[in-house]
Amino acid sequence: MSTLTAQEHYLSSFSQLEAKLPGQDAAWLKSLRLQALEQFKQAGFPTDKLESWKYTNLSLNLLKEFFTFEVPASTTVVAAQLKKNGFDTDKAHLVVFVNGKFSKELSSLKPLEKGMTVQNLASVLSNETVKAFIGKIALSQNKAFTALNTAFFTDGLFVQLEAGKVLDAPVHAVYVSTNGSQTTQSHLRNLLVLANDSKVNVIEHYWGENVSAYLTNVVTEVAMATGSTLDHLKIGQEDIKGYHIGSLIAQQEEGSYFASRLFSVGGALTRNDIETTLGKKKAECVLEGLYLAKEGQHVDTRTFIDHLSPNCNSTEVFKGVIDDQAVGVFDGRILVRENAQKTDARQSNKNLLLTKEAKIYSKPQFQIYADDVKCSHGSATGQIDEEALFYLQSRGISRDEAKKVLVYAFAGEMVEKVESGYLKPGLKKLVDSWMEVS
Amino acid sequence: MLIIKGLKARVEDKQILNGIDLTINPGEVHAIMGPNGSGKSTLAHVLSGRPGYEITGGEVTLDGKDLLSLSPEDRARAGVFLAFQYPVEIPGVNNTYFLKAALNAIRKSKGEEELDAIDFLELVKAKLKPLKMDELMLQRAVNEGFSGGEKKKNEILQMAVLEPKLGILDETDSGLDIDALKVVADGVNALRGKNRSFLVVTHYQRLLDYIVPDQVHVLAGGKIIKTGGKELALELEEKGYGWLTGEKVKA
Amino acid sequence: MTPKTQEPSVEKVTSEEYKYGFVTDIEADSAPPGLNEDIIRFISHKKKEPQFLLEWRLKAYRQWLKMKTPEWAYVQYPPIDYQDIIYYSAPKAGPKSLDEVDPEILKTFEKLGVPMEERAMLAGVAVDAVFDSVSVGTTFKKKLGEMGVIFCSFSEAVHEHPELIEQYLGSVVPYNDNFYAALNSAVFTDGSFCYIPKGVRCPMELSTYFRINAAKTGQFERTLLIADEDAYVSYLEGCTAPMRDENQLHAAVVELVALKGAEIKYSTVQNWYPGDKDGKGGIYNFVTKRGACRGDSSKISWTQVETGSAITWKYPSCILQGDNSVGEFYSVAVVNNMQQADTGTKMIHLGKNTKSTIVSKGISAGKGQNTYRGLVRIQPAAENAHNYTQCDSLLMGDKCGAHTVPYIEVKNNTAKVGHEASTSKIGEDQIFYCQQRGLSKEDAVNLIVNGFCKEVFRKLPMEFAVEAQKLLSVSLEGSVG
Repeated sequence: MSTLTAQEHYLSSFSQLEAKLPGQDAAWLKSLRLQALEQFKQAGFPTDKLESWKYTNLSLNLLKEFFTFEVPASTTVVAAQLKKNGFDTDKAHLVVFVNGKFSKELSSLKPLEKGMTVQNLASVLSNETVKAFIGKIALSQNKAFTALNTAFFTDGLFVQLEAGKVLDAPVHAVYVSTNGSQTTQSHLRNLLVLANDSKVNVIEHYWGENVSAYLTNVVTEVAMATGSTLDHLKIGQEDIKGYHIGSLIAQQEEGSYFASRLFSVGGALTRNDIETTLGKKKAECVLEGLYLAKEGQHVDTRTFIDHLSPNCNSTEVFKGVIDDQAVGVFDGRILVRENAQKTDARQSNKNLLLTKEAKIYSKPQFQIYADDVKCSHGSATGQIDEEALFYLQSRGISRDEAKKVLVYAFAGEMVEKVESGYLKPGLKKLVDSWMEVS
Repeated sequence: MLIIKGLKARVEDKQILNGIDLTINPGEVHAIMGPNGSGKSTLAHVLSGRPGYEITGGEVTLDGKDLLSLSPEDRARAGVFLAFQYPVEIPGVNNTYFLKAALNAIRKSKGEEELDAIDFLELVKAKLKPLKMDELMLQRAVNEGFSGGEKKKNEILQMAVLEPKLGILDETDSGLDIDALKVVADGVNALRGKNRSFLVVTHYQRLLDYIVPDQVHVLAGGKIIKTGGKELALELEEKGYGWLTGEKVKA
Repeated sequence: MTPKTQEPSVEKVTSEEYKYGFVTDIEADSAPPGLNEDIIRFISHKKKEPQFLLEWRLKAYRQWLKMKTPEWAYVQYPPIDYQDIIYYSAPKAGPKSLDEVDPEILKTFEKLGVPMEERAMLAGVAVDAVFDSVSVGTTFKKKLGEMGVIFCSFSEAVHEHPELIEQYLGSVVPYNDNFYAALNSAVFTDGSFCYIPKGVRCPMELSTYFRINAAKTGQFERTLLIADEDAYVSYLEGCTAPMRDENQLHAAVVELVALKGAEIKYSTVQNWYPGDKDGKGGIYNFVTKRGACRGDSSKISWTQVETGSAITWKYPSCILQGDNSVGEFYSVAVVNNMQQADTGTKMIHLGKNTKSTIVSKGISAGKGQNTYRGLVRIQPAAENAHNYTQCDSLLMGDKCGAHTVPYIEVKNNTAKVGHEASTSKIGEDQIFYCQQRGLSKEDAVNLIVNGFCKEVFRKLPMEFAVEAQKLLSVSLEGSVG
């Protein structure tokens, strides 16, 4: 079975689906979708010959599946489950999507003051802002999954804040995938637009309860104007049948602050691309992440920070715990362009391998074309410190328990870095429960 | 010896020195005191030619030689020595090697013969003793991993070896405990002589108990607003800077 | 600007010229330009090679035809016309001893500061000088011979020790390893061969000086170095080249084999002509260097100081097969003006308790682009493997670039792998501090840069360390205004 056939499957599906996709009355979107389809045709699915997919081979698993586009609508009691998992959703703007479509019943959108919008994207496709940004930040060229997403997306989160607006309560978007005997896929598109000095906290939470394999392909575009602040957190809790391909692409203006935190525990195969362009001076970004993988999971995280302008700072910390036969990949690239003097860029990647079969591929990279810079990166991979294990055991703690303590000490740092009181309990539970079953 | 006339300087758009007039005769020790931000350290930097300052007026001569037109190294060769407030670390460069290169550069500029390694080592060892410095320090990289006290002692050692005409001490007392302060002050006092002058920049009077100045100048707003004898320092210690600067600034 | 009073006196920027730029005029016995099976047969015939070698060359050539130029490195250059290169040229006279060597050649060496006889004797170095493609003289051969050490030109080894060549040639870098290695395997003309027998500690540093001479001559060196069980050898490789307007290709292959308990130290100072300020001329240096720590407790240590070449593409690597084997890579790479360097190492851990250390110091000035590219791979069987990597870059001037591309692959959880990298501008406060103590700006920069490279220089044999420091100063002339 070649990639060509998989590609053909998508191309032929488009003509059948086109008329059912949202935005039928928006001509610009129709042509954007067609263009993206063409770009997908050009690019084809990535192979491990591509540098950015070197350690993730899709052809073996993902592309064998011919996921259907028609997915059953299904309901789950989302809010209650989230509460059980430690998220007090009463305090958030809850936006729920099931199998790629917005669910009004499951969501609880609170009234917002003027100048703030939290909506599902499909309902605002005639909005000028949407037209101005969709496909402009996340480019489809040479990116098969972004192109596919642009061609096929059905819905997603839309947040817009006008100048000076601060949304205190977090926006918690939940994307549920659930299927039966048939494999399924959904393509979600999120758009976050922050005007000058606005501020918001957004959570993207992916979760699955499936019988058959499924694909979630998500693209989030973030436009940050001067002085704006975005605290973004992504929780990847797909189930073991899931293939998750996600891109989070931000464009930052002067003095903006972008924090992106990733907690990835689920999915048979997970790939996250996080990119930001520090486009104007004094912009700052903090990219953090924790990926936990076990059994046959494959988790690939790729980050790219583009220092385009002077006096920008970036800080990156990614940690991984790899158990059983799982594979972890971290590819962090920092580009400092000629004009980006006085750049301060720090990156760190640390990995813990829990078994002999676990594997990690780490690729921290710098490309620096400006001279007045301070850049550093570190990467460290090892196992649990035997000395520390023994020390705990000598104090009467069982070996298994001691291991957990040490793994939590390693991973928990990423939870501790999260300041939001809304998120902390849930994230703690997430890490705890991963360790319980591992 | 050192004559400063109407010296004005700025950093980017900020005017810091607004016309300094100061004359230091051979053998004299002058203290420059003043509140934070008064321009004390700027004066030390400008005299030694640190980049980043723009001279907007005035002149400075050392033994009649115009200092301001010289590069930093030529000022050093002319006899200006700056003991840094924050001595710089140079990883991988041996302390002895560094000091020998500096001494020979200065000797060469004077037409003197360069010292070979053996003579140099003898010279340095002799200078180390009064500073209570460990010889092992010579083997380490310049200032790398040195404690605050070690760094300051290293500055004085360099001064002792390079034998400048004018020693500028830029807040040399900062970050020193009392024992280290005494050692450093003794080191400086041992270097006092009729042909060597000092400009001691400090915020506190404490250092001047040990390095007794001939004159004390108070700097504020980039100008010398008061000059007196060593008792002026004691007065400042007691009253702060407020009574001189119109109560705006506290010591 | 301040008048310079420091020694060693540094030439004025404007008069800066490639020190070793001159051409020796000797008649060459050359093949016509171009590459085909006949040329390969010609080379093999000229060198009176045994059949197995000719066949090996032809296999490599046929493989090469199917290969593509690698494009992943951060280097840019116009396509090379491989049919426009002369693959064989040799000085006509066949000298048997130093006395018979063409005086022109000897003069060239003198200009290069390599007075073979004196220097060889004074420094205790045996020099196997390679002039263009044919070895012109070997010293200390006798003394080494008494200890059973074989140190000779590659061609000589082919005739006198064909069994060793057949056994080891291509055993570390196979003929189909990569584009340039395949090309080299097909057309290499000469190089060095060295065999240290069991238990022998080679009493002197072995050294080879490479030169590129006749116009349009691609140079394809082949070096094979074998340290038998418990043997030790330190090998120095130094390069200088005459000035040349056209770009020249250099695609060498170096293979090292360390058997049980053996240790090989391989040091390089690379100073090929880098091209002029505008990037005109200069050597394309595409080198494959690899060592196999085949036996338990063996050790291979690469130390390189790369200041020359318009383009450097080179990754001296270690395959740590034997248990407890050790690989090291210490590198200083300098680029100035339009130079491009993409260099680093691969440490492949296969055996238990294997250990590798990587220290890379990159210095970029002018419009130079400097890339560290490295791979650390811990294979599943490599229990308790250790790697430590440190990669530092220093930037001088706002038109240059410094890039770091490490690949870290860990497939065994008992491994301990650490990588640290930093990039920063040369410290202005450091320069001022030195100036305040009377040093000129140039000397301050040299001092700081040498301090930055200290860890690597420390690994070089004494006489090389001195040369390396000088080279560094010359390479960076005029880079700080």
